[in-house]
Amino acid sequence: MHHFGAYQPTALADTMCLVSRRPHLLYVAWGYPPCRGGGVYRALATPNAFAAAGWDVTVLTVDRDTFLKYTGTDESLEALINPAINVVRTPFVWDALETDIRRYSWLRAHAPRVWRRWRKYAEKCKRFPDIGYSGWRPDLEAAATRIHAEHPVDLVVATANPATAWMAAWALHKSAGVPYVLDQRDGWTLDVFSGQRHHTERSRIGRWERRLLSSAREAWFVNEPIRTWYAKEYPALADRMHVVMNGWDADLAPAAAAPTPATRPLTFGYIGTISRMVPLGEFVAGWERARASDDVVAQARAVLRGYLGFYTTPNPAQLQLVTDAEKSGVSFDGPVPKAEIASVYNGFDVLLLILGSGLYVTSGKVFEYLATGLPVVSVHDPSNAATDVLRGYPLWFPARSLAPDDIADALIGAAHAALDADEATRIAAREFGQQYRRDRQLDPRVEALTISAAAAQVPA
Amino acid sequence: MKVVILTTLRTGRVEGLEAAVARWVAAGDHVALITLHDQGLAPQNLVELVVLGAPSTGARLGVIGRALVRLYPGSLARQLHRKLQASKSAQTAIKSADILVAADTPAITTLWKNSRKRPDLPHISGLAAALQLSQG
Repeated sequence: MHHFGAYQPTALADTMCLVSRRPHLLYVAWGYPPCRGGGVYRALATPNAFAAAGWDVTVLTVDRDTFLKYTGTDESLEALINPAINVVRTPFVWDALETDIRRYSWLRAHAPRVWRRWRKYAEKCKRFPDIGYSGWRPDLEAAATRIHAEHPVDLVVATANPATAWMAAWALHKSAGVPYVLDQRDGWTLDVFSGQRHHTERSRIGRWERRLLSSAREAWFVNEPIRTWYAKEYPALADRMHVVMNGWDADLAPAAAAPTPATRPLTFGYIGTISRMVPLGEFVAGWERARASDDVVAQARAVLRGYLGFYTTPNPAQLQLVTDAEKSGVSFDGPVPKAEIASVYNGFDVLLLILGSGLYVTSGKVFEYLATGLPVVSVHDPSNAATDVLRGYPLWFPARSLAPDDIADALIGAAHAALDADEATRIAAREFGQQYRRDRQLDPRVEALTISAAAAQVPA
Repeated sequence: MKVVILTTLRTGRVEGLEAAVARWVAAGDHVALITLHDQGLAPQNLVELVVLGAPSTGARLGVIGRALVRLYPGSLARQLHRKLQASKSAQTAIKSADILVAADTPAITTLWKNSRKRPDLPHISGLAAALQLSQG
């Protein structure tokens, strides 16, 4: 049986035969299926990879209702959880995002600013500085302790965001010495957009980060620039820091396009969350410029698919922006369930990679785009970390800047490549994407941790 | 479905109003807007507009008074509530609503009071959340 993001054990299977029992992994993630957030695929793939490598796996996450109410759901993802995984869910209350006025307290309804300040102050007084999520900590720690008592845990892998997820790992490490991996992804104190520290070393968050990193078996980051930044900040811990890129999921990614020319009229496509960091306004200006100066783009259409913002409730400013863009031949067709994503990609001839700026920003969709072998137009700052992933891709058309003319040039170049690129170039593009399969990113870490877990056990 | 939006802002200053109304109307819903101000452009697709009349000015409150009102928006909310109670057309719109939407903070206070009397009716804060609820 082939599972999503499956890790194929080889020599590890022999190693696992030597131990007295299968090692038990506790994987802690807030965003886990049916959550529809961009980070959920990593949370889905990681425990699946450990389960396929012979571990007993328990996933600790929040109630399904949390996702139904606040983030939106993609229920098709639940079918991709390895059936051997035990999923434990805990309650989670997110009162800041409550929009049902009937549930408001008198204070919130009559003095919302006072309520917000009081709430922020109350969160600050808690022992862990993770505003909005720290209320999860008591239930999380209690559940982790219970799981460990019922079935001893050999390793905890805890993934952000939110950082509160790490507290389950910390609790088991303090009480029972269980080793843990911090999957930091983008980092906690680093602002990936500005490249500056969010929080000083002496702040509560700075001190907690040092404490958590100092005791971690490993810390994972999504790209090399972030790992390098952390290695510089914590040089004594640099050897524990690893890059685990997101990659694309073999079971969910679109099939690579046939190496044949597209036909007019072309469809440019974007799939992903349209947050306020996405330079959609700049893209629309460039799109209009390209339509005015090139026949192929003038006849083409652009389709945006995804959520407007990170929550169930669409961001009003983004909603207005996509509504305005409809006048320019840009249509917004809403989110796509992940299980249907391959068929949506099949309808695109050119892909639009519209990203927020920042040296440390990669985004997960860049990998999925590479799986298609289609021309990719980059509409983001050239210094963005996605540039490192795309460099060398034969059908990559980066905008030199976010100026309308530069974006238009890239769009026109990609449109003509979709029609005219030769077969060898298209085949080279398909092959380029293979190196970014997610299992190839996870393999080295799963293998290393499996061997160390086996070594820690008494031989059978 | 009848959607009733309540606000103290001028219609042009309610973020996302035009796009939200367009989507409701496209889905065949009836949209009514109850506001204090008759200035500003109403969305073109609006089916029903109820103007309650401008609120009294806060100029006489002084610096401290205005600062307190910002923290505790009771004054504007009270005015909205009072005007709402006095307006027959507003009352008719609210009684026939399937979903009530607050587009700003004083409107939340007013709808919170209404929700005590009509707990069965969805009272939602924010246009986008109401769109999400009504259209899925």
